[in-house]
Amino acid sequence: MTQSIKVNARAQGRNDEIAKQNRSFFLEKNIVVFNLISSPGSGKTSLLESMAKYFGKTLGVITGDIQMDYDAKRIDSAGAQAIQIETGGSCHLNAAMVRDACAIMDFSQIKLLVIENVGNLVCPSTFDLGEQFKVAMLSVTEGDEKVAKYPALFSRSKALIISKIDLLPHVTFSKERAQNDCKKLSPDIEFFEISCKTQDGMENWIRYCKGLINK
Amino acid sequence: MNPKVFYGREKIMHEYSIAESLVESAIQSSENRKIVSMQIKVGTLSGVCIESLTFFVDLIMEERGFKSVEISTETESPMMECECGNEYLAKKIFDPCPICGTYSRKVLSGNDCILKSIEVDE
Repeated sequence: MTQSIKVNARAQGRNDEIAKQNRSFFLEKNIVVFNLISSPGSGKTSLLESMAKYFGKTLGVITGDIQMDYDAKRIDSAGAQAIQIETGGSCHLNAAMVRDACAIMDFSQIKLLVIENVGNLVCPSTFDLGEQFKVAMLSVTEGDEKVAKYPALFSRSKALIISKIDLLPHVTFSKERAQNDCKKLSPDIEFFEISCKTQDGMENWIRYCKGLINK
Repeated sequence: MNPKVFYGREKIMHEYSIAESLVESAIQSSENRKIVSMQIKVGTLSGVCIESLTFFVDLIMEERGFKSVEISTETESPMMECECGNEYLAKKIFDPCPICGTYSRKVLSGNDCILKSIEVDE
């Protein structure tokens, strides 16, 4: 004889509990926190280097990679405080990792905390880290159809940064297509276009971040 | 140099950690009885690959001493709430609102992966 038992347990239940604690911690510290997600190589660390020049030590970065601490070194050299998480294999950060990184971070000057997730368009979007919102990044070299192909990220993001726009003359990429697909998934999403190389569009992005801090 | 946090024990696929969590829930609910089947619901916006998930659930169940557990899955299309007031199931992610034809909508469900139920030997 078998007996059926109703469970109805969410797989992310444990992660969500820790994410909730992280969120309360950030609220208590009165800091703006977003989770930056993109493919590997789309320019997340370059963006954070540019931001570090504007924000200095008021910017904190928790950066995740499978291995190596290159990113933390780059962001640190650019003037912000950076903590590297090496996941040792995991393709995404989880809330416990962020909690552990926060435990060794000095929050005395931080007003804006960016969690730079492991480069990946799929897995990171499904793990709540306790951030206030997600920011998606897509470089023009990746192709404008990526929004439609990876809806899990773009449907959860508050902003989309299209990066490497200095390369637009050399690649086939329709900003309109990417943005239109994005609006279908997340109607209130805000768009930014930047080049870390030429710094085009950077002021606009920095103004947006400053606005979040001063809210 | 900067302090850093290192994890050596994490498994590679994100489906692994999701599978691990579903197995924990199943074992907890089984109250030490033999689990014979698991029913799992996967939202189409969850970013979970069903084949990888069932592979890992099976593997972890075996590691925990449960052999030949039947794993069944169903997918859940996202329920959307349109600005026009209509709620609809988006069978394809780019299905617009069938009433007003727009995409002015909020995602109400379809993001989760849930262990719905298990069957145990009495």
